[in-house]
Amino acid sequence: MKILQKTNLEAWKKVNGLGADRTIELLKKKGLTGRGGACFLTGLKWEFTRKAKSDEKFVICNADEGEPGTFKDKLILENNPENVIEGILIASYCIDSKQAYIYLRGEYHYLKERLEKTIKKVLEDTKSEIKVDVIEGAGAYICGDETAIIASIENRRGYPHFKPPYPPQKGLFGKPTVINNVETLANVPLAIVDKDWGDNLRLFSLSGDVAKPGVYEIEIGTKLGEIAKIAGAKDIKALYFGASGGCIPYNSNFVVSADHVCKEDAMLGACSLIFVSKKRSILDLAINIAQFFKHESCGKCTPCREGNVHVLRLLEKIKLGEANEKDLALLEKLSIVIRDTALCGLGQSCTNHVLTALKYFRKDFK
Amino acid sequence: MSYLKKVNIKGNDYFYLFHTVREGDKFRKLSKYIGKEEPSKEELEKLKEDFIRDIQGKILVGIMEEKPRVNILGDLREMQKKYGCLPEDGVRKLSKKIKMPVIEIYSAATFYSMLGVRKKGKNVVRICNSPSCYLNGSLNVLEEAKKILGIDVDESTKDGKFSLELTSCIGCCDKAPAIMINGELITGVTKAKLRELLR
Repeated sequence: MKILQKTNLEAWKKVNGLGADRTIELLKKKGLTGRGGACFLTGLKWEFTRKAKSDEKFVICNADEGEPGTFKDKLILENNPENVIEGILIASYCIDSKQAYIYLRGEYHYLKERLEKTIKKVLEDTKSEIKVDVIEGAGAYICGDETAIIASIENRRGYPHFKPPYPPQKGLFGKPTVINNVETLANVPLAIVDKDWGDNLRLFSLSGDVAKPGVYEIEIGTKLGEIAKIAGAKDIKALYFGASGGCIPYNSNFVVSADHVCKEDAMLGACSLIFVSKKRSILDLAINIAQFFKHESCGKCTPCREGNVHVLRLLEKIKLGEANEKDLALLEKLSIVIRDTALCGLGQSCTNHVLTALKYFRKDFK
Repeated sequence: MSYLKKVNIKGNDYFYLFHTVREGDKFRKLSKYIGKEEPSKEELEKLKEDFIRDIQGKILVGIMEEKPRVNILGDLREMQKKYGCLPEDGVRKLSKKIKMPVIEIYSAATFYSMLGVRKKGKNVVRICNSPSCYLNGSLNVLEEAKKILGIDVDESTKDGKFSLELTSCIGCCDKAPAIMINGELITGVTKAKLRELLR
């Protein structure tokens, strides 16, 4: 896999020769986009943070990979933490930060020791004065949201807050902050050094009703049939894009790209595909995902906190066969209200799965 | 409450606003000079408002500046591991060490599913029930665990050896179903494997 190729600090040396502005220009030209799901240009994010005036700035590496069906960051942290740390150093250099944090999710505790060793080694090799600390979460899905990570590092409850202000203006401790996903930072040194590097190559986490689940490096724009073949998926009915991305009916000719998925009302997000076979009922899966969101709603805003309880209740009512058309209409309406009124990205996407399931698999709900 | 007071200095009368604030165990009296003449009732109300706003601003700034930049999650996780919960003594000690109010520590800590004030069993069994594990039979694993331990989700065995919990995705979707016992990942769990583990 390309992402696991080690650049051995070549990118760091090149960046020190280029200087910050030209490095940012280079990243913008190469078109590196964020791998967390929002696909924002990384170079642009760094430029905003670089231009923000402050005595202190921070870099945060988001290693709080909590989306169900996503396990690509774990693979990178296990096999190529060197590139991630090099990416962090380059980001710190570009925005002129002296302190970086890796926010590692609590469930990945076993990666911490190795990570800290690697940090020590890379810092010794580069003779850099940038400090990189690992901070461990303690089990909260919402802490994958950038504003919630900031709250968590500042010792507050991991509540997200309304944007703007965006972290590049006002982030950790009120100072300009760059927050990037693990995969994005691991790509930074590769994008700088490797001539053949392209932004389309992504890590796909494939799981569910498949024979060969795992992380695969696949080009954006590949047909779904090919991806299913790689994963060894047969008799597939639906495809879920993590829990928050919603679902689409399986079609082997479907081209997997953010735009195409978006046209189907779903979200590609962090490229996690969960295959669901024909023998499953989408209603059962909807209940499972609704339980997840009910548990993981942080409780800050009402639509998400209260709404998810009722979404689950309605789905269970349907499952028991006690629901009528009115309940189905209510479920749909409630889902739309939650999507339109919730405060953060999690809240706004937590009913995607209901809305897309009702759109494509309404039969399963009757 | 702030109040107006006439102060006589070298034979002249001056008016001051006073307000007492509490800082930890100590009290501090803050004052603001108003003028030589007593303000009217309306003026006084406005002056008091401004005064309070100033003080609050200063206190807030003070709090922001004093906030420790040490993250407490690591300490809290250690404590949780050692005692099975976050005991008040431990939190108070931590509070003194990093100069952060006890209430704020609890406020942050209770947000996370891995930290809690209720004592958990010595071994915490977390069963992943997110979609990928669910599709690979996590509910069977859960049922078996309930049967072996004789407890329901979020309960502990009477001898305090085990607690059973559900967890959100732990990133082992490729080796589902997965569970976690005391932070250690166990993948591809079968009923037989579980029986072996929970003996």
